[in-house]
Amino acid sequence: MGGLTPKYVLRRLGMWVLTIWLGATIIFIVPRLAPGDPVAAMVSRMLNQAGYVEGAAEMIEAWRARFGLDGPILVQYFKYLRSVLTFDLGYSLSSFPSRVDEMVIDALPWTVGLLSLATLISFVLGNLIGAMMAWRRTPNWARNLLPVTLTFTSIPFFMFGILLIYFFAFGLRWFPPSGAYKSSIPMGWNLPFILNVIHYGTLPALSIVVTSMGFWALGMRGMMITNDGEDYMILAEAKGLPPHRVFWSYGMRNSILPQITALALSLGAIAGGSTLVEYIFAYPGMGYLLYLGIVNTDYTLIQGIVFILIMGTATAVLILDLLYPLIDPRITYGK
Amino acid sequence: MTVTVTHTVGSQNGKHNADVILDVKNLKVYYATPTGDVRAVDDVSFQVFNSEIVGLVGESGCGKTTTAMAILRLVQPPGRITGGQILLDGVDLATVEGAALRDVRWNKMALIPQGAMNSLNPVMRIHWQIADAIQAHEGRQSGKELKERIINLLSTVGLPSRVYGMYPHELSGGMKQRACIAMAIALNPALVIADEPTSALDVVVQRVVGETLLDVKERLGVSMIVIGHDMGLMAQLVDRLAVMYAGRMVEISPVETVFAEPLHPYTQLLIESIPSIKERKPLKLTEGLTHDLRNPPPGCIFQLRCPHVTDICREVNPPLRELRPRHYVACHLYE
Amino acid sequence: MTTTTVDAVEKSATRVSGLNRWDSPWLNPKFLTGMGMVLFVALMGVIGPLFWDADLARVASSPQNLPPPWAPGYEQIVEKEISGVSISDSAETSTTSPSSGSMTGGNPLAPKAESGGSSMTGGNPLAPKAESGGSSMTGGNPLAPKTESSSGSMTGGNPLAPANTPAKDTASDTTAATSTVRPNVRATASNPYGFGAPSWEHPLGTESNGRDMLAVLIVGAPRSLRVGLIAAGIGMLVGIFLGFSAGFMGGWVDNVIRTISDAVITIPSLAVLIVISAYVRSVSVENMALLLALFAWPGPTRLIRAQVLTMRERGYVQMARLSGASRFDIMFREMMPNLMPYLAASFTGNVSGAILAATGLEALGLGPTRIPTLGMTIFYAIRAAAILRGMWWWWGIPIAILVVIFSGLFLMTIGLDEIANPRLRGAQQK
Repeated sequence: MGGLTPKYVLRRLGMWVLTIWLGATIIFIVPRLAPGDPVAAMVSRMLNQAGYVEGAAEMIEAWRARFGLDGPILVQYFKYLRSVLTFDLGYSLSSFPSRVDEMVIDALPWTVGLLSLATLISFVLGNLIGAMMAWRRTPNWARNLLPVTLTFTSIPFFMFGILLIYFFAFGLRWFPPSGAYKSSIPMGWNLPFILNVIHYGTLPALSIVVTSMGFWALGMRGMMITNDGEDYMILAEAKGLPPHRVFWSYGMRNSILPQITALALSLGAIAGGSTLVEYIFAYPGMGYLLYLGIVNTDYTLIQGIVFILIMGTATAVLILDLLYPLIDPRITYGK
Repeated sequence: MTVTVTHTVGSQNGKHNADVILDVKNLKVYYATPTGDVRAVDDVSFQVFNSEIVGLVGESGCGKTTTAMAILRLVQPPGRITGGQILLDGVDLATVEGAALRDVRWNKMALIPQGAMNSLNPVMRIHWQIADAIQAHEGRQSGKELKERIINLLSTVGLPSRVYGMYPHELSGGMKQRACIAMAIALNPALVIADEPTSALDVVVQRVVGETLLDVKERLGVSMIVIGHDMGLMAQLVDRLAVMYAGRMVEISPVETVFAEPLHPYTQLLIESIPSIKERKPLKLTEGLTHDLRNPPPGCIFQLRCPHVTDICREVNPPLRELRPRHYVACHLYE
Repeated sequence: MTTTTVDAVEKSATRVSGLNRWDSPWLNPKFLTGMGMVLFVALMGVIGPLFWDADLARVASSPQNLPPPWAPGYEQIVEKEISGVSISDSAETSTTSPSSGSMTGGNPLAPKAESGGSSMTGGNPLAPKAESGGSSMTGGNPLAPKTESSSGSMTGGNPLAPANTPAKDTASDTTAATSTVRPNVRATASNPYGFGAPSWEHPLGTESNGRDMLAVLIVGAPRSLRVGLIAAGIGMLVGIFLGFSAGFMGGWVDNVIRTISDAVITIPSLAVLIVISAYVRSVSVENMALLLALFAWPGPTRLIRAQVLTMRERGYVQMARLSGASRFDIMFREMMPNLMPYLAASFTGNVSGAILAATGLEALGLGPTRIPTLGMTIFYAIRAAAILRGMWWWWGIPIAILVVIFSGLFLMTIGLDEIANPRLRGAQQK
């Protein structure tokens, strides 16, 4: 259906591969650019700490092998590429012998859940609000009220999160200030747990939704205004179609297309922002895991998480790209 | 100079059906600007009879499109109808609003837009766009009947049935234009306004579209107003010609007589400027300046460019008078 | 034409003088308001040091935990005591660690951290031993590397810890300070968080490290602005160069540039910046800006490329080509002036993004440790559980000034959008 030609799919897949490869390469290069021998620094740090003696030797060995003091840089590079492709992300330095991929798998669902829900809600709501702001038939009271929803657009996610914690968790005590769930409730797909998760997840999700809503709203408003002058809109009105049909099938339907492109382009930024949100809320997703990695200078963990983040974002963009021709019949070749 | 007038289908020479479909009386459409109202249409009156094609011609900016848009109630702010009546089938289009207006739209009056390139919703298939119009006014239809009806419409304008499920970008310019014609006649309106239907097309396709329009008129008895500035095309298409200059009507006449004997100086200039394929003649330039549409000079609207201007022209605005049978002119020359 | 006709022309063809310079599109109210806000912050850095002692932004230069004097509800705190008294009442400690269980995401990390309430609202007063080691990273691993302490600046995070101030280096920083009145925080029932008495000597209050907030603002805010401006500036320059190249030259050049910029946009920049910062601590404005510029160039590149492609087919460009203008001529004389509003809007957007990235990195603790930047201030505040201790001025004032910066830039961007696209201006008329 639509323009999902093999050429298009191939090109999109190519971009996906390129993005992941680029990210992985950057992660590979950076430690080697840092001054000093990271392994030696690591070892000395290990020796300074009590209580990490057991397993340290094996870990250092694994680390050396990973960093590969053996072999020229290209060999190291290919070994590295192979390992990330098989998701062999190594061992965490600070919580050895835990493996990075295990820790990531534990944290991943929280991030995916929070991110996708928050992004979806903010995208849908934001575009609706923007469309209504531009539509000439919106009643005036609504038109004056709507810009209020945009007041928080220029506040970064995490700062708004701090404000939310202060007012709603510390002040009103309506929501918990951190975490994803109460440990006293048994985990599982039962109602109390799900409600509890929603309760804990409200503030983090709100920080993302309220602040990014405005971005979509403004974009949509601009698109609707631009499209309003288009000939097909005039003809739609001339046909005497009911206003709601013109709004949805002629207005929104066309204006949403560039917004989806914008969504694909902003996923990277949203992923970054939600990392900070998780940090603020100690929400046990990948963002918080990343912070702990920073705190403990757990380089393998940091690199592993960042790689997964890059891969996740690239995959999300790929999915969007593949879905796009299904809604825009004009696309036969990628942008 | 002579222009041979040919009609491919029988005309209504001399005889006219006494039924008046459209009666425009003293129409005024002004555009508000910070420095005064621009008088796009200034006291225009004319009639369209049953089953005839009226051509509305004039140079760019003379107000012909605005007149058509006013009839269709598609004038956008800052323009507005400031006076006059537009009587179509008993309804005064100048004053009707809301649901009553939507009712009239497409049912009684339809538009074939200029440049169908942009007038079709790019993300909707052709049949949906036609079905839209039908269902908006006649309620939901049975699928099979609707499909048959639409395919019939398409064949009326000479389009194959595969166009039914195609997207606009898959059609050529001429096909798109004809699809718009099909859409316009879907509800059998009393009046169809075609805004420069062939301007964006090449000559060969122009002929096809022109013939389609004539065909539609003959078969369905639809009255049409065709707007354009290609005098040669007008000659072959219309029954009567209405000439506008700077927002006012200067001449209305059956097409044969106006080409044989144009009475108004402006019409004479228009016809003289048609290049001839048979003889070689120099390009005739009209001298004089156009005036500021916010501040028309008192008296005849054409005084600044008229080669026969006299004193009375600068003081008194000549009314449209019937100088020959069914031939109206607004000029002091013939007093 | 006769003279009478000329007169008629004069009369009817009235000269349009309705538009004067006050209608210039650049005088867009949103744009100007935004610019005003940004300029205010910039000027703060210039004028501020003239009126206020910027040295008060250094650690332990001021009394700790003073609320702003204009904040209601703190007047009753009048107890002042000379330093040295240790605090051991733990009536209040329970309120500062509400979420100790929150990090049980099945996270095998640092088991010892659990007891300390490992949520990063950390700074848990129940982990006093960590403090004495001078280890500043209380947010998880109390056995965190000593390298942190050697940087020396992040001591004294927890005022409720045994105030064994002689053990801390900071006391020696301001040698005179120990003898001057340093009203120590004394936690009592009516003053559970141990705030000192507010005074107008510190109009915006102070925080737990003994920094005066106004001084922090004066030093930190303009610095944030500078980082953003430089990073965005570099990004714009690269973007202009690449965008024009891609738009003009087309072909494989265009393909390569477009592909790479698309890939870089997709990569979450913050994540990669974190990786880089973890290894390479960037402390200077220029270094930070360079780092951010690495991810700031794709946006302008895309924008300019798109505009160039559109404008290339426009009439005036074709005309210029026909009259033999060189590529540079076309670029700078024909295209640039029309690109200006778009470029400006892109620039302000990029500045905003760069400041956001810089602040985000700092809030995670990856910024310079000796200079009081806004992001690092927020970081210290979070680490000291300032949110839950009610010390809203510690994090609130940096956030407020950052909001001013972001809102100002945002307004400028919208204003510039309206200048570039006149249709958006008139939307309100409907």
